[in-house]
Amino acid sequence: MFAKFATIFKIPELRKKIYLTLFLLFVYRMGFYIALPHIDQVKMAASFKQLQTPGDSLGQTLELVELFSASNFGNSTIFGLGIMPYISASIILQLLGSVYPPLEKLQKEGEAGRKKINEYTRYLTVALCFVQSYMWLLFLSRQMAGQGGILYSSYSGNYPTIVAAFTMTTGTIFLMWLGEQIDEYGIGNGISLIIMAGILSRIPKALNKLYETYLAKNVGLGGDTGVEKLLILAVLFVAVIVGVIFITQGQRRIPTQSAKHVRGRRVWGGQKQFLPLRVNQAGVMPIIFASSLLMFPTLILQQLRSTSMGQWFIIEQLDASFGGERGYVYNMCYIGLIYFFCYFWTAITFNPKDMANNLKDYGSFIPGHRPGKRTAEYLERVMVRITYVGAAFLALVAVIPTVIQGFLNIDFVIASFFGGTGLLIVVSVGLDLVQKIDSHLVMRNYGGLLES
Amino acid sequence: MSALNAVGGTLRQAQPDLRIHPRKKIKNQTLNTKNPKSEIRTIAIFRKILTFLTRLRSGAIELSTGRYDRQVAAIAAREQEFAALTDDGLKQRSTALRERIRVGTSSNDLVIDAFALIKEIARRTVGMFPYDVQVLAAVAIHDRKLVEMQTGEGKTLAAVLPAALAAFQGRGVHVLTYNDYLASRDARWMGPIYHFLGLSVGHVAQGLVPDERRAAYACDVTYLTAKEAGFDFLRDQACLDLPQLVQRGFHFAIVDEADSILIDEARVPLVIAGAEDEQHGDLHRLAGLVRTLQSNADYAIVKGWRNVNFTTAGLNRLQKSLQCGELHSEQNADLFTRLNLALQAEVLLRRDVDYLVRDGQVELVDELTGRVAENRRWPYGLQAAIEAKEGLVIQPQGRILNSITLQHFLEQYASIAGMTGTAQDAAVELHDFYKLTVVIVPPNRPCLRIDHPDSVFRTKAAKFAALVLEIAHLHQTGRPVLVGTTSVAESEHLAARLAESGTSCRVLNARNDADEAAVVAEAGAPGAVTISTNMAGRGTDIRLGGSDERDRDRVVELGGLFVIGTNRHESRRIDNQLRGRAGRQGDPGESRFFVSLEDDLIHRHGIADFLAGLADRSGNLQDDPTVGREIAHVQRVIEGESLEIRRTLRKYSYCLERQRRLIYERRNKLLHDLETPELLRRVEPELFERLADEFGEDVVLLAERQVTLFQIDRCWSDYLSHVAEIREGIHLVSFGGLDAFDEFNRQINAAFRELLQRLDTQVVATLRTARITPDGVDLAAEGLLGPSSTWTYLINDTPMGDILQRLLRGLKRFVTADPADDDDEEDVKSEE
Repeated sequence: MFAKFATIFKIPELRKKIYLTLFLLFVYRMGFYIALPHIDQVKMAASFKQLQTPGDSLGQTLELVELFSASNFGNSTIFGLGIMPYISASIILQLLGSVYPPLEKLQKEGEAGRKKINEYTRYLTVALCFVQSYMWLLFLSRQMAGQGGILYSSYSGNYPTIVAAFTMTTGTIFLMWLGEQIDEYGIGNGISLIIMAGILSRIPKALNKLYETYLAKNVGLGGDTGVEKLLILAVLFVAVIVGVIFITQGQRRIPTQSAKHVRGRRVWGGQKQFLPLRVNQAGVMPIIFASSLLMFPTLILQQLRSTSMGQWFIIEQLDASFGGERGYVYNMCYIGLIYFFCYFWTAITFNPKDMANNLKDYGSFIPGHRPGKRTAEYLERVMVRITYVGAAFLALVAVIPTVIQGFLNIDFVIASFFGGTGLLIVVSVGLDLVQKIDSHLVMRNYGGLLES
Repeated sequence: MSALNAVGGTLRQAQPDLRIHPRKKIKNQTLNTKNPKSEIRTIAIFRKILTFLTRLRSGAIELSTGRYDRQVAAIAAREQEFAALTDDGLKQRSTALRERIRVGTSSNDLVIDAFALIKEIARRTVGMFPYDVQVLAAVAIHDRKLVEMQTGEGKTLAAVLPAALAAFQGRGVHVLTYNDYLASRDARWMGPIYHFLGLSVGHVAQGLVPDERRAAYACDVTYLTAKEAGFDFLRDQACLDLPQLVQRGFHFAIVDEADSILIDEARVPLVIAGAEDEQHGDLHRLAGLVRTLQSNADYAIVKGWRNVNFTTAGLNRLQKSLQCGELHSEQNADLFTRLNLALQAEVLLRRDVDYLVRDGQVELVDELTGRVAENRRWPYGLQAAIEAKEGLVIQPQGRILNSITLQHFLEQYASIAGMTGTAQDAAVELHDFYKLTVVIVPPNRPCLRIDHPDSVFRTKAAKFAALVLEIAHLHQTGRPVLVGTTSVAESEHLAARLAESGTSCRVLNARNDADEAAVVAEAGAPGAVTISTNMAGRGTDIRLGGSDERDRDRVVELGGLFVIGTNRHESRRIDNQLRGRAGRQGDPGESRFFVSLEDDLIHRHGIADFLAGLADRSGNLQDDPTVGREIAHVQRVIEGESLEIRRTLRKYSYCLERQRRLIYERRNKLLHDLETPELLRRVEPELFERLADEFGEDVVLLAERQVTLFQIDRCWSDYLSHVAEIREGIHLVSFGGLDAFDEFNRQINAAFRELLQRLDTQVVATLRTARITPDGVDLAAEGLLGPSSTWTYLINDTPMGDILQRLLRGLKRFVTADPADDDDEEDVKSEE
């Protein structure tokens, strides 16, 4: 295993790519230490700490946003928005593409169309960035820290806000560029790696928390800080990761047969041609959508609590469920939404008719199924079934942090490493990266990392 | 004044597309380039202009050729010295030169000496004294560059200089000619120069026996086609006994018509096949059955993409008449495949366009050259399907024992250089794939050909009418006319139209290629009208005034050869090759292409509407420069697309070629006895000991060597078909979100490991049961000799495109989610 790692660095081209990628990620992290102008960082940090007290739902929500957008609001820095606006823009355009005909036409135009869509995505990113950062800064300067916001007192008016908004926008665009550089000259998918780096950068924080909670105190058996709890956590951690790898890689291989060429004698056995259908076709998208959507009830309920209705039983109960504790109702909604978005996303991205036509054009067929409509129907049936299982896994992974938090009474910062978006992203990006490195090794007839 | 003219001449040279000379200027341009100084200055100015024009081509065209010019000048400066020597003196010089190379002087230091010497020898032996431009080409070839030289500028002679110099090293130089005829002609023609230098020269052509081939390869310089060299390579790789080898390594090759060999034909797989019992099934019956099907009802042709599918109705009909149950099931897969092929043969391949039937044989027509592609077949049962369609005896296809593409075969050479008339347009690709830099050699005398802008017509009918008028008109003046058409059928159609209008003409196409030499010889005679397919492109040298140039002056007076193209081709290089038939060696000439808005090129790439709109506005497209620009644009787009496809194909073959090298390395070590086989001793020590006691260790090792060589060939052949099958289905994995290329590499990497293991198992298994004699293993008795006979052929790109090519289009289609043209009545949409 370690010998294989060594071979990675034996290939000069690959070595160069890896070093470059690491350097670019380093640049990305550096940006988090460059503060926005005009903002009083001390005040800012203080008010954020206040937000992050356990149980505060807004704080937890923000934490979630930070998690999957590789951003960090806590210290208003130039990369404060992370890469999220770009991702949002891509998703918006992809979704629009299936409902807005001109865009749909563009999507079908091949290379040229894709370039055009890319261009639009960038424009939209800039717009989103600007709106998002402006709103955020407005929120910071007006509402937070009560009196006068967190701007240095010598600045006032719109000017500093606009400058800071420009800075944050530029920061995100720069991140986008970094991602493209990784795509081009580095290894792996740049944007994914940036998100992954953002998530992984939270590990020290979590470890520190773990240390503070457990190791810094007297280690013993039983109680809140018992060793057995640590052991359970460790086992769970491994189990969850294995499970996540399992669903990320899971595919149903549908055997296909080619009827274009006459073949001579066959001595090599095994399935040569197959159509793989992914168990988790939608990836992390359902979790992101579901948790984003669940932010709204959380925020609304919080507002309601402060009104006269706040004393009503139902509101109280719901707020408790949607708030810091993440109760039964919240989790049921969460699971329901994950199921919904799994099917929704699969329906958009999976086109059985296209697949059936493609098979037909290449003279391939699925034994026992006529080409065209019947093949499409068969594929759809299979997809519906495996998505059901895939969604179940996804839901499980999504609620594990909450369950751990609840049952083991562990801080969310730690618990979030046991599932949910963060883990899914890290695992799938990591797998992708390993596969990319693998294919470099394989190209040179070295064994891949994944082979024994 | 003369210097200015020189600049004018070269300027036009630099921009071939703009080479439209006003008539009256021609006389002024008889500039004299005998003065080497002025010529070199011409070249220098030429280069400066070129630098500016081609800066964007990223180093694919060599611009800083000052050192070549200096070398040419230095070589020219020694002319007198060598001219003064006697024959014996020259021979002494060449012996001395060879000696210096033997002791290790770099040939780069001897270029000037050697080339000056060979120049003089060329004059004395074959009566040709290389021009400075030829020497420039020679110097560039020596520097392993790709030289662009116009037709008729003497590429054959130019190649002799670097070939001879490299041959002094004694490692064998191959000059790869365009066809067998040129190989034997050039070897004989240039032979005296080599012989004078004390070098041996030989040539290889189809039909030679192994001993003759071995003798030719043993020569210092060998003239042959790339294909023959490739076939011999494949045969050598299947050789079980050292003395049977015919080739001796790949040192240096000079490739003639390099763009054609290195780009257009680079993907053609060379195949060596062995006899095998083949199950054809009842192909004739299937062909008959398919013939009864109705277009659109029983099968549907996919528009714009040469593909055809059965419809549900067609499938039902077939199932009923064949009584075979569901065709789309595993047990009927072979039958269904044959039906598919029969349908393709019936619907997609057209007699007299894609192939000819001659002497009971199906002969493929090469799309690029318009010739019958000798020794070429369609792959995977399609050939048999065509033979069944035409009611011919089905030829055995054999089992593919080994195959390699020309491109990868040429990579076996330690170094290559090339020459062609049309390199510029392919410069980037040549640089990318072969690390070859193009050097542009100006013509000895400036090209006076007038290239007219395209004549554009709305309909094909109008175009043909105009063609007939124009040809008749030119014919009346007595000018020789060469008409380039795109297919056998078109050439015959045009000839018939001309005959109707009373213009006599000769036709040159794949059907009468035996008369080629005679037709070409007289194509430049006054009043000659020659209708040709692309055959009269590359390598055809049309002399003005007929074969003996008897009426040369008259034809020159009339303006030289007029070349007419009836279509623009997808590649600019092929257009330019056709134009290049006129205006050789400073002769006058003209060319014009006739284009209609209904032509495939314009129609298929969607500029027809644009041009029609243009015509509506201006009312006249005849000489509108916009049309030319649009067509050039389309050609560039197509070239870009094909480049992208070839780049990807190359990417896909990367791993396999590496594996091939590993296998060959192992094989060659065994064959040349550089490595002792030790598998048996390691895996089955007892068996080894027992056999060694009985027969002696040497015999056992010999047996193992023989068996291993045999098994390597056999396993490799199986492996190739396995890989082909993986590759065919790999695009499907992109549906699962996997990267098809990565997945392909992963799969064949795993398969290669399996291959190595299988090899070992097979070797041990064979040795366990084989009877060993004092001469090793009696391979014949053990049935290990492989096929009783082998033959070689080329696999034609299927008309539906290479498997991978289709794969790429499919991927693109997947990415763009283009809904297929679905004529199936089971269309999902219609039911919604």
